[in-house]
Amino acid sequence: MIEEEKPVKESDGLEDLWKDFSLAAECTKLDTNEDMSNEKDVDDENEMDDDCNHDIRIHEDLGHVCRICGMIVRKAETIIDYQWKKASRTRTNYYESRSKDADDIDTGAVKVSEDFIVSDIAIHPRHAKQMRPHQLEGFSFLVKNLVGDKPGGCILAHAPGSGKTFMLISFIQSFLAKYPSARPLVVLPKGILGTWKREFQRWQVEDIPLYDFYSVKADKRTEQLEVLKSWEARMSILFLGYKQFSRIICGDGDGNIAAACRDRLLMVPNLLILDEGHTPRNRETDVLASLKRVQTPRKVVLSGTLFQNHVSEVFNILDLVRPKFLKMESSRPIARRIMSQVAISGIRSLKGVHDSAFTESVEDTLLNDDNFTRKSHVIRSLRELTKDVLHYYKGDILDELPGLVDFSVFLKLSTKQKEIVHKIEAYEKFKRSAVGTALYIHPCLSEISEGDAADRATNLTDATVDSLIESIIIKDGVKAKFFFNILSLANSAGEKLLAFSQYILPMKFLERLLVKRLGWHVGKEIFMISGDTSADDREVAMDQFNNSADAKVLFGSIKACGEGISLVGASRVIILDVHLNPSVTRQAIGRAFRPGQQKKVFVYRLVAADSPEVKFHETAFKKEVIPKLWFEWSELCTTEDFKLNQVDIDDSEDELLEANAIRQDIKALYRR
Amino acid sequence: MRAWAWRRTAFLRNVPALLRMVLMQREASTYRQSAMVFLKVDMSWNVLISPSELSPKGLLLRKAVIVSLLEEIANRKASKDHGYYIAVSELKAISEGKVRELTGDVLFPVTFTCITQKPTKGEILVGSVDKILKHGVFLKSGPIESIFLSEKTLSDYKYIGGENPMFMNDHSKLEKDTAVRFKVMGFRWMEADRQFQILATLAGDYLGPL
Repeated sequence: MIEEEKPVKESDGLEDLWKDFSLAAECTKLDTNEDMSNEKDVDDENEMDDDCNHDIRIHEDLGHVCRICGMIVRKAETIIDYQWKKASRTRTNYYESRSKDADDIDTGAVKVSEDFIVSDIAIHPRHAKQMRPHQLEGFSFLVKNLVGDKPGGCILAHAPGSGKTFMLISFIQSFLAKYPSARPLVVLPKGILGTWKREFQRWQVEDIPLYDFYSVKADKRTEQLEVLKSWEARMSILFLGYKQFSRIICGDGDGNIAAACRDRLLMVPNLLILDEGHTPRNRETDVLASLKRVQTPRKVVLSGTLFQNHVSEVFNILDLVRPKFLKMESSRPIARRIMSQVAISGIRSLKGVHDSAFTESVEDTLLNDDNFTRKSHVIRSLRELTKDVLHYYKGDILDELPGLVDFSVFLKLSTKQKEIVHKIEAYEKFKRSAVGTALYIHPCLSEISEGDAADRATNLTDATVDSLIESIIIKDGVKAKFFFNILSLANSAGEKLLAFSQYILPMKFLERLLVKRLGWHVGKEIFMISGDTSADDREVAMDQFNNSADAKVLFGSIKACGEGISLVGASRVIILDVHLNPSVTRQAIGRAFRPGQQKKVFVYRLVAADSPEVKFHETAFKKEVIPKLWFEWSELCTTEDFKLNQVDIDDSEDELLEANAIRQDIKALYRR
Repeated sequence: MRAWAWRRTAFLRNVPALLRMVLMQREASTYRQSAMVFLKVDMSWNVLISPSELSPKGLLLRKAVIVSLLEEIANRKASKDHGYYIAVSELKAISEGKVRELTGDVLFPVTFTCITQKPTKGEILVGSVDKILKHGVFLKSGPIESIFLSEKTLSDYKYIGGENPMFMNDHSKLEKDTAVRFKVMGFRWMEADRQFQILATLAGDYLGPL
C-alpha cells in the first residue's frame, strides 16, 4: 500500500522557472530585511548582540556545521534532538562559460580581391582565411601608408576586441617577408606583453624571435644593450613598455652604454607599433617626446579609444605619426576651411591656423554649437582631414554578443551622507573626488580618506577595516547598500558581479564587509585585482573567477583592469565612482562585454545625486559625446541620439532594478 | 479522485490536530485511495530520555517516550525521503533502552507508523495566495509553504501593481488569500530550510482560482 516515489529531475523546461523562483524569493527576502532593519533603528543595543547567521551544512561525521563561522552547531550523535529554524538560503544555478577569442570564430573562406592589395605585400593565405572584412580593409590601409615611395604613419582606431592584434601580426609577417632587414619595435603597456607574445606564437608562419627586457630580467643598461644587439643582428621583433622606452630615451644617463642604447632605439627600428596608442597623448609627458624622436616615418598607433579627454590630444597623436600634421600641403586648406566655419559664431577673430586655437574651436563647436548645419560641416571636414591617416572601425563584432545595457544610476544619499557632503565641498578638486568617493560608499570611510597618505596605508589593513565594519549600519551608505542588494539579487539569479573603483579603500571596505557579513572568502567567492596584483595572481584570479562555480564577485581597480583581462564570467558590472575619462570606464566595461560573453551584460554607473559627483558625471559624458559625433555621426542622426535618455524603472528591462529595496534608493535612471 | 482529495485536504486544515488524527484513522480504513495523497510510513527513531524523567512506574516512562517522540517529529517537520510529517498514527514498539556514559541519558529505539505528505509531480492541490510579485505568485498549501507560480506560466494573466497587487485575466483574478487549485510541475528539497520548494502551474482543466 505504501509507495515511495523518487523525485524525477527534468532539466528541460524548468530551469528558467526555478531561477524565477530564486529571484522572487530573494526580492521578498530583501523587502523583509528592509522592514526589519527599520525596526532595528529603535534598538541599537540589540543589533550589537546579533549572533552569527548560521548557514548549516550537514556532515555525516561532524553533524551540523556552520559554513560561515565553522562552529559545530549540533554534533552528529545529538542529531535527533531539537531543530532550530534555519536561515533560508537560495540555490544558484551555475552555467559553464568559456572564454572564446575573437580569432577563434571561423567565418569561412574570404575571397581576397586583387583590389585590396595596392602593392606587392600580400596577406599570408593562412591569415587571409581568418580575417574579417574590416581587418582586410585595415591591412590594405596599412599597406597604403607604410609601404611605397613615401611611407608615413597612420592610426588604427578599431573598437576594443575587434582583432587589431591579429591584423598587425599578419602585417608584420608580410612586411618582414618583403623587407628581411626591417626591425619592428612594438611599444605597449607592460601588462599585455604576454598577450601579444601568445598571439605571435599562434599566428606566426615562420619562426621569428621575440625580444623583450622583462623575460630575461634585463635591468641594467649593459644587459639591455645585449638584448638590443641581438635584436639588431637578426630578423626579430622587440617589445618594450612605454615607461621603459621613455626612461631610456629621456634618462639622465650620460655613459656610453646608455647612449648606445638610446641610439639603437632611435635609429634601428623601421616599423614602430604603439599599442594602446592613446597613452602618449599628453604633450607635456616624456612618452610623447621620446616617441617623436624615433627616426622611422612608419609609425602605427593602435587604439580602441583614441579620443580620451580633449580634441587636442587626438591631434597630438596625429602629430606623432605625421609630423606637423596641420601644416601639411593636404591638410592646410581643410584646416583653414574649418577655422572659417567655426570663427563666424565666436567672439574670437583669428588669423592663421594655430594648433591650440584650432583644436579648442573644434571642441567648442562639437560640444556647444546649436547650429546643426555648421556642426555637420565641421564633422565632415574633420573626417576629410583625417581619412588618409586614420582608419576607424566601430566594431560590429560586439553586435553578435547577447547585448549591453548601460545605466547611470543616480542614488539618493542617506541623511548622514548629506551632512558630510557639505564639509567636503571646501576641498580642492582631487581631494574632494577622493574623499567624496569614499563618502558616497559609506560615511564611516570619510575620516580614513581624509587622512594623510601614510596614515591611509596603515588604515587599509584588514584588521583596521574589520574593526570599522563591526559598528556600522550598511544602509547609512547608499552605494554600499545598492551594491549589497544587487549582489544578492545577481547571486540568486546565477550571475556574477564585477565592481570597479578608482580607489582601493572602497573596494577593501566592501570586500571586508562581504567577508564579515556573508562569510565569503578571498580567493574563493571574492577576488581582487589592483595595481599591486602580480601578473601570475591576475591570471589565477581571472581563471578562477570565470570558471569556478563558487565565484561571486571580483573587485577591480579601474586603471589596472584596462587591458589584457577577460572577465566574461560576469554579467553584472558596477562602476562605484565616476571617472573623468570615459574611455577608462569603457575599457572596464569591455572586460565583461567582449567575445566569449554568454549573457546580456548590465552596467550600473553609480552617481550620488545632489553632490559634486553629478558634475563629474556630466563632464565625463560630454567627453563621450565628442568621438560619437566625430566618427559615428551621419545626416540621419538627430540631437537626441547623443543624449542620455532618462528611463522609468518599470521600463528598464532589468528585473533586478525593479525590486523595492533597490527602487526606493534610485532618484533617477539614465540609459545610454 | 483528485476532486475528492482536494475536498479532504481543505477540510483537514480546519480541524484540530487531535481530532484530525482520529478522523484520518477512520477514513483510512474506509477509503484506501487516500494513499495517493498521504503516505503511511514505517519509521524507526531513537528517543533520548534524561535521567530526571526516569521512573520505576512503566506508564510514566512510556508517556515520556511518546511525548518526546511527538515533539521531535514536529520539530523535524520534513525529510527528503518521506516528505512532511503530518502525524504519528501508530506506536509499534519501544525497545530496550541503552544507557549513555557520562550523562546518564537513556536511548530508546522506537518503531512507529507516521502519516506523511510528499509532493508528487502532476499532483493536484488547493492552496491560498500568500504573496504576489511581478515575477509570479507565492502560494501555501497545508504544510507546504513555498509554492511558486511563475509569471511565465500564467500566460493569460496580467500583473497589476499598486497597493494591492494582483494577477487578472478576463474571467478571474488572483489576489492575496485567494484559493487556487493548481498542479505540481516540479519540486526540489531544500536541506537548509528542511522544506520542499514547488513549481506550480494552472495549465489544465478546472485549475485556477476557486
